Amino acid sequence: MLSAVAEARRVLRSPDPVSGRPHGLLVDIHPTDEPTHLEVWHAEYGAVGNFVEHPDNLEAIHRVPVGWLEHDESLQDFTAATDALVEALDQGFSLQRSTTFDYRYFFDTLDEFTEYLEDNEEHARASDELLERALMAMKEAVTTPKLVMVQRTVVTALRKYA
Amino acid sequence: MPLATPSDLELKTIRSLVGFSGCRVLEIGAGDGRLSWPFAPEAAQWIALDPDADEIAAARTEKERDKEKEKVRLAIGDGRALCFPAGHFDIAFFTWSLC
Repeated sequence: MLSAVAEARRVLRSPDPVSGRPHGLLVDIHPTDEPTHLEVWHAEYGAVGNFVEHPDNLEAIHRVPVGWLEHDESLQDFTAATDALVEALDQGFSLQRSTTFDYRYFFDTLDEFTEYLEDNEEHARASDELLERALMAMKEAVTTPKLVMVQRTVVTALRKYA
Repeated sequence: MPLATPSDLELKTIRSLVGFSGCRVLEIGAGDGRLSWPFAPEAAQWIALDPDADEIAAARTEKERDKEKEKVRLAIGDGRALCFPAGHFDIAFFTWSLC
């Protein structure tokens, strides 16, 4: 069986001299191998409905770092994805652009968060100490808090070349 | 592990790197179609593959519920053995699936 990168290269188009369109693009999105961390967010001012859902509100949000989640083997999958992209540079692709962003998961309660982790235990776990710190930070919030799990994610575009 | 609905930040970041308008796109590891639905309407063709039959079934249910999602063609498939002709796609989009 061929690698996914080699197969992608095969099905991507070559340049079209008529339309002038260049070679096809391989685009990938996956989390980095940086461990996921937990924060508690609350608004700096009075109660604001759905404040975390509006990016313009970010400056008005107080973010309290709580700590890191624990991972077993899931980070190895993300390392493998990064390695596959690096290898693609030797397999007929050139780097067009790459950027990272924080993928955020929002939870209203600690129970909601722990239920989510139970459903996805192969990816990450939270220690009792981390959960206690999160609960404390949520209690200390001056407005309705959100529990936020943050996972660094990378998006990369590679251009096929002849 | 991604949530069912992509965030504005995620969509904006992807759009900052790639334009899908008028393109023939092969999405590999599409899951339940989370990232197919927002981008597919602007593409010329959008084929979403996932090796997990349950995920594709969930995507089919979602597609049947919403006519705007008709453009997405869903199939069970592995990115390492593609049954498409050479040079067919403008974009191969790996969504949390490359390894």
